[in-house]
Amino acid sequence: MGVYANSSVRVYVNGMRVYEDVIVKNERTYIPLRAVSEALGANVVWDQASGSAFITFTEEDAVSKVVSDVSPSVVTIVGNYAGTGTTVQYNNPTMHGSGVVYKSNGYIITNAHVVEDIKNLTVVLNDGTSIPGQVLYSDKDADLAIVKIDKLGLKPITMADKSTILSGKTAIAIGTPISLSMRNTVTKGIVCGNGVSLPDSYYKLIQTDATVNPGNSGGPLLNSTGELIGINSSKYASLTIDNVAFAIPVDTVQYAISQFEKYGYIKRPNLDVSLEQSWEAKIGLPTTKGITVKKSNISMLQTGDHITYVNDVPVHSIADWNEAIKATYDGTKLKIGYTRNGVFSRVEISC
Amino acid sequence: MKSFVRILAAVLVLTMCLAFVPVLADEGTVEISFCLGDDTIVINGTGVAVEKPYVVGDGVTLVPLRVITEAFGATVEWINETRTVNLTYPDVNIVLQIGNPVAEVNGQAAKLLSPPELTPAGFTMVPLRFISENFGAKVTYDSETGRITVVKENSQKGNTIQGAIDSEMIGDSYYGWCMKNPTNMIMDDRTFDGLYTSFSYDDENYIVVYVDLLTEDFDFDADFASEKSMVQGYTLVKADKKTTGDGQKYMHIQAKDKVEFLETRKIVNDKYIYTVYGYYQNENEEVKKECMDVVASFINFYDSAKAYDLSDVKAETRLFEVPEMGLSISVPANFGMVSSEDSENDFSFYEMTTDDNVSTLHIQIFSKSHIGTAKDLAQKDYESNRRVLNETITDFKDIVVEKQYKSFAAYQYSYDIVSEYYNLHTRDVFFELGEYVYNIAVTIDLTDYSETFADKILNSVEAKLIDSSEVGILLRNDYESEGTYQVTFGDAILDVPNSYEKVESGNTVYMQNIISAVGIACQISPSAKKVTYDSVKKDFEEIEKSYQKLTGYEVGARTKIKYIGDKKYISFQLVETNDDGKTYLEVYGYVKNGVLYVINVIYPEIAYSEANRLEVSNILGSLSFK
Repeated sequence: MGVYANSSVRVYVNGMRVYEDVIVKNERTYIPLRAVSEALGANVVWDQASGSAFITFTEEDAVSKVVSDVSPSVVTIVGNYAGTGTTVQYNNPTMHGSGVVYKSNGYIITNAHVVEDIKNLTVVLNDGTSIPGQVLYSDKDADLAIVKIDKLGLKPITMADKSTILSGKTAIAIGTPISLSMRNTVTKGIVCGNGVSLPDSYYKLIQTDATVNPGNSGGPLLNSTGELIGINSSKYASLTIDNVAFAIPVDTVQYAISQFEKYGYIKRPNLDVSLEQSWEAKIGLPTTKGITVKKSNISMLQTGDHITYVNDVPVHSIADWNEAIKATYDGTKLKIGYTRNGVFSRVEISC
Repeated sequence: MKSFVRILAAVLVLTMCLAFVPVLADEGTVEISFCLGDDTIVINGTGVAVEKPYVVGDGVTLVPLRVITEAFGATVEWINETRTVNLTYPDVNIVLQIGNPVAEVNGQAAKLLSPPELTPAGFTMVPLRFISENFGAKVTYDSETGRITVVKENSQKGNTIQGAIDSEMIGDSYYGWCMKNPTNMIMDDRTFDGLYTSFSYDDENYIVVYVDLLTEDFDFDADFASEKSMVQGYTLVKADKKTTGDGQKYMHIQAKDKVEFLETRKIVNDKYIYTVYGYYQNENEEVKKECMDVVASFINFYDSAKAYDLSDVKAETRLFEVPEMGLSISVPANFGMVSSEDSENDFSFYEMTTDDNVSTLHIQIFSKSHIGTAKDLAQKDYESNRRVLNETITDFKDIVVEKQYKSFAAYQYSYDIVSEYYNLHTRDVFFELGEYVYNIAVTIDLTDYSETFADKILNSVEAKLIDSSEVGILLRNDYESEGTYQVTFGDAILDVPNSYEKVESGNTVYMQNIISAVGIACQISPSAKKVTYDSVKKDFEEIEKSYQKLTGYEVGARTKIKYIGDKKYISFQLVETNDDGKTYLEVYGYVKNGVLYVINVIYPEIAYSEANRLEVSNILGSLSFK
């Protein structure tokens, strides 16, 4: 019992260490008020006259604190267009997108389309430092790529738990839209929808109304505590459409990273079968019709078979199929549940 | 008792660290290698005796702290009271505490899979992977040998981003010109053959450079007058022309109005006409001045010391690439490209020459599912050409044969066209790759080249498998449609095959065969009074006589009655010969109810074949009236 400074007690606010002396008294831990409040993003005003401390904390403060905490993890990826032709060689056009540091020793995640056809790739950190970068891995279908730079001690992003992504919650996008002079600018909206399947997207996406523009691609979509919920990748742009943007959800990002680290590419089953979805699935209407085998070069499946389960996951669209494989494929085989001439069977196929 | 031991342990740890010479990495490379349970670890090539590494928890390898500090050259600070280790490495600060699964990297909390430990002997053991990765090294485990390797490579040099070309001048070494580099503009377009290059500051301020072949009929003075008249709505600022002692001709025209400023500079030597055209807005003084400087600096000489070369001619050829089709071919440098917008599977090139005969190169790609096999297509085109081409001047070398070129095996046929005017060799080559059929036709001017020239072009072709899911179906614009349609002029009706495309102009209905270029023009001959076959005969004979007097015209067949089926025509034939070749012109007249219906048929020499003449005969024979 007693009052003593305990330098072995460490206090972290949202993952960042607060470097102040900690006092333990009567089994309670005390730390200077200002240090913790400001670490949270709150404003502290000490009124000498009344001997009181006033702490104010608004949602705005929380958001701007998240932005300043997370910005060191957001980078801009710039380069020259690697096309051929005299015009390209003369103009040397530049292109750019955004990216997120996910490992402190220089690993950055971004969209595959940002780094496709890029040369002289340069990563610009939040503090303005420019470092050359290399594309290590890339997958066009997932639209994700990993860029590596030779820098240590970067601040990595924290990944959110996928189950916490809910429609209506705050979504914050940080990136570099349109011009490099808007490096690491912020927009805010909400998660409008989760698990949206678009016709030309391999996996399901998060829909948001946080304003994103060309250049935001590859940058993070964050929740209100600064965790990564998605990677901004595309939007609908037309005279009749506003505020509809899409991000690749965090679980797909984590899946891609682990596949890249394990195999160097995203390992998908080598099933020599072409599949077709119902017209309902094509237009996005929920259906229980399953997906049909259009053409099969293996004996276990035939044209016309209706597949309704993959590894015990129900599938009724091509997006469902891709998601089921992402969630369950072990690298060696698939268990397929299908109906042929009204009879349901299961088969295990090595692929 | 306790504290005594603790201090002793701390001292021991420190002395352990100091007792041995650190085996530091050289300039950033680090390599650590060992097996679990070894008491020697190879650090940067040197074996070092250590406390044995071991595994805890879920496969976390712990190594003596010294391994890390020696290998990476990190500095260590040990804080005894809290049993904390501070590791400092360029850019990275790691804080670890014995027994604490939360470490700190640059002040940020990081969860460890297993906390650092202190061995009974007092050695600090830290997680290998966590520290190595944060220090930028890669840890790999060989499950067969049980060997763990940590490697950190030297920094990789990347290339910095480039801006636009900023040399003082730019030019084209093949056509021989250069000018000041318009650094305030971007290059919008440059054709494959380099004949056209355009730069713009924006939509309303631009410069274009054209190169044209000088033809015999180019009249410099007439051209100057024409350029002047083009700007007649503007105030003329300058209109200079001159010829220099070496025969080169120059002109410079500048004109303006309140808003715009235009200028044209032309230089003509014995081979090319160089045109530089500038268009600017007066309101943007700075841009206008820079552009005018660029235009004024243009010379028809390539300064290799100062000018960036826009020309991509290498070894007398330009590499034509279509990445989406996986196709590349070396096109002779003196071939221009026929521009066809939106063409993804059809590319045409022609020899830039003032000769009568022009060599050409035509490349097309089609889906096999729509066009058939290469062999079938070769046979089909062979038969079609045999029908369409004038047999008296065309010599078909062979029927369809197989031939091996450098990167493909093909079916081909070839023919020579030799007449007073023509001297050409054509080779029509067909090959397959994946789901597509490629058709490359090379025609060469035999007066300038030999057949090996065609071989050289065909042997430079490289074709890679096309991904049909990306490219899709490629069709050929064939007039497959058998069948006819009706053409009317006045009360007359003709049945014309679909291969003839119709164009109407005033009172004349004109049709041209897309494949053979045979043309048919129909009209009603105006006349105050009624005509008869006899009166028409007299008129036609007059026309014959007047043409005979002109140079370049001969009468091929005198005016006479000719029955085509049961239709009574009166006709004559003229043969016109000029620099462009020979043309057969046949005039057919039909009288009905006192009105003369005239049908003129124009055959280019090359299309004057039996099959084409039969086709025209059928058209004439189909004449009917409403």
